[in-house]
Amino acid sequence: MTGAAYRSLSPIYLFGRYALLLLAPLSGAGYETEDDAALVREKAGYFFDAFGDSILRLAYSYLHNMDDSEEVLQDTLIRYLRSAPKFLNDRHAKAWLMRVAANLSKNRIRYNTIRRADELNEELAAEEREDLSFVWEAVKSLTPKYREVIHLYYEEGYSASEIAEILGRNENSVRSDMKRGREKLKEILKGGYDFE
Amino acid sequence: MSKYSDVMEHIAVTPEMRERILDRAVSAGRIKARPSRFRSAGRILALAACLALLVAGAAAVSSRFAENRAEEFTSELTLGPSQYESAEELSGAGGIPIRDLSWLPFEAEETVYQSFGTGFSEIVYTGEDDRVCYRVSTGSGDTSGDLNEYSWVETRVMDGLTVTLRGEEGLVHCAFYEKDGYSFSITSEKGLTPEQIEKMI
Repeated sequence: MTGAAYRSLSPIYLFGRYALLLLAPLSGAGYETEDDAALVREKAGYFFDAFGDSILRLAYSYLHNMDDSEEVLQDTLIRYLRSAPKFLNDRHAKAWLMRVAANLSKNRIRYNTIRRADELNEELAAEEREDLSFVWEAVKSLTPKYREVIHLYYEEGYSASEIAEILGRNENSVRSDMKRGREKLKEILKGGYDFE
Repeated sequence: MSKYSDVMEHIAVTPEMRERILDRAVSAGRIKARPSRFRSAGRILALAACLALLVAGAAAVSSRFAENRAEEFTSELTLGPSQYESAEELSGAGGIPIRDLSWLPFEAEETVYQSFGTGFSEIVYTGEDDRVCYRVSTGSGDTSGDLNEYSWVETRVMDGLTVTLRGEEGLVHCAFYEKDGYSFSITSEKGLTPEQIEKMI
């Protein structure tokens, strides 16, 4: 078990969490209109610090474009602030946000509303990191259903059951896509880099 | 750290991006203020809640409470498209006429009927070897959402309809056509032959 997992089970941590859960609706009902901007910034600060990079990376893994990914991050933040959901812990919060971001990203793909520029590719090329470009191009070539499970597994460390919950998919289908995604990567990378 | 993580390290929220997003969100007035009532009462109640919790202790937090929170979380997860049990239900609810494909080249182990409001409805068939998505949309052209670039694009007349086929090495990954003011598309992960597409539409 990791340190974070131990921490999340400790009585002090649980007390803090539940106290915050109880306090949230009360203090939420109390802020004045003129305080809104400050309160939004305070909540958004926590959002960016705790989850910002993960959400942006997930969006980028779908869309391959920074402007689109930034808009997904923005829309996820707005949903987070508007719906003010209450969570058991940060892990639950992150799973909820990741699901929102995944749905927003996939909607953009479905509606054909994504841009074509891939700034990451350009940055890796400028740094002359051919090894990383190779890996990114391989992952990018996968269809979204393989790419999303590969990203959530390798970048975020989620288990197949957690990925299934986040993506609203069947666990067996997630396992199967992870296996096929890995096989496809192996074919493309030809031993240049192993995703095992 | 894996090389994929090394790649992803290049994607990060910058201070400029953070400010940009906040400015847009706040200035656009997209986040509404809540009513400013019960301010004092809220603080008192908050302190009371803290004291009560101190007395009771965190360890005494009941599993029932945790279950309720978990249920709340689960219900909050229900985002995205609306799902239905059958093509008939989907067609009625979404307002877009859609029926099951008359033929599939594989046995579907899972079939999902979903509506994205007035934009489009789709049926997704998943089998052991392939996943086919059949979509009906308002609008025209290719509304399949398949943004992959294919080396082969061809237009054929099938059953009186002009069907555009996109794919590679003779296998169709995306086919689309228009009929009765709607745009139809069939996408396949594995790829289908043009003959198979003709049998499906």
